[in-house]
Amino acid sequence: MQMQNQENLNKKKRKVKKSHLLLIGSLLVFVGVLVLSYNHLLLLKNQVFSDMLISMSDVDSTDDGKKTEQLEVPTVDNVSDGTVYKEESIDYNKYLGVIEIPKIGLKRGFYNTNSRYNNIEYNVTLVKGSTMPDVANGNLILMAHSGDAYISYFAYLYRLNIGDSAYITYRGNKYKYNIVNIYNVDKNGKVSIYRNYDKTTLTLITCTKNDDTKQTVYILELVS
Amino acid sequence: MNMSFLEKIATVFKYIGSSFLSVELFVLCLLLFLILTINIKAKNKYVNIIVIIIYFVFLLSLGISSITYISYSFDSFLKKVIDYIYFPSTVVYFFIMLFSIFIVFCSMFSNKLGTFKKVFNYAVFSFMFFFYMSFVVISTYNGIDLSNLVDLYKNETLLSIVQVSNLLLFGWFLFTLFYRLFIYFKNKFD
Repeated sequence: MQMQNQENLNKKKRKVKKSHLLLIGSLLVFVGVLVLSYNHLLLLKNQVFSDMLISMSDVDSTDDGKKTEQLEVPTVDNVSDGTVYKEESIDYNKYLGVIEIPKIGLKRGFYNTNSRYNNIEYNVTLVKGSTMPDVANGNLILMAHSGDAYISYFAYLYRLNIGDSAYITYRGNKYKYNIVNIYNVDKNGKVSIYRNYDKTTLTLITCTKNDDTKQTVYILELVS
Repeated sequence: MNMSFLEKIATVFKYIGSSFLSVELFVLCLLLFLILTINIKAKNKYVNIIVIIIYFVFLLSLGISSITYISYSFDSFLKKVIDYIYFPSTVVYFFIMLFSIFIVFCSMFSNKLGTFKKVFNYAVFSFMFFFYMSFVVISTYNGIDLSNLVDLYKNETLLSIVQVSNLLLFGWFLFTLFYRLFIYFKNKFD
């Protein structure tokens, strides 16, 4: 009788432990899924914040009589490559074009240089003086933040290698570019672009990963 | 666009009879329904397993053939959830408050909930109630239009109140989920 009671007690203890183990297991699975999907969730969260920020910047008037909100233009990345660019007069309501880099899951629109949304604090930014992909031997220059802020659209550019592809959709046409060169420059307010002037080029500029003093320049050439 | 309900039903039946594939699909679904219904009495485990496999294979083939669509659907859903957590519209926030009050009533009159869970529910939803009332008071005091999300969330106090309140609710969901899971494991394996 006593042995039976002891056995029942042991069985109860074991069963209680099983439910605890299962709970801990479930928690671990949940945490695991969260850790695995963290980057993707962060990306989605960044998009949501970015969209709301863009909506918030569209202000007509405030209580103290101000008319239009002034957007700050970044002064850090001044680009100079000596090319004489053809001026474009383009009028779009939303995106001027879309950049897509399948390897890092980037797909983001960019605005006309005259747009209030063409600001590195909100979006992938089109640098003034860029030419569009349909201009032969021209250079389309885009820049964005890296890092882990919600506006860091070029955060994963460091994963790209020579030969990787990027696409620009512009006026209904999709242009394919391949990376031909990646190099770092000092962050001193100017970026030197070394490219083949006989090729139609796409240049991507962002801060170098884990180095606050440098910027990384990606040179891509039009393939098709 | 402006079809009556009967016209819509007629259109659906026309589609079912319109091609061999649609007839095949309809018959397959009908068969699955009949098998599951008959199996309620027969209680054959293998039938259930086979039906689960069929549904799983269907989902897998859908996943393989339309991975972009499924991935986009998941992303859109997650973005909406994130949007509701961080920047809910006042309508959504109102329904969140109604839900909180409903949970408090359920806790009050439930015999199954333990004391700890009741106290936890009361604490969380008291805070939710306080946040919501503060939200209404601040927006009224500052003359902010409740239907204008942009104006609403430019106020940092309102934004903080809403986001903390939603994160608290999300935390409550997670805790309740694991609590229920624990109760289930305890009942099943004890």
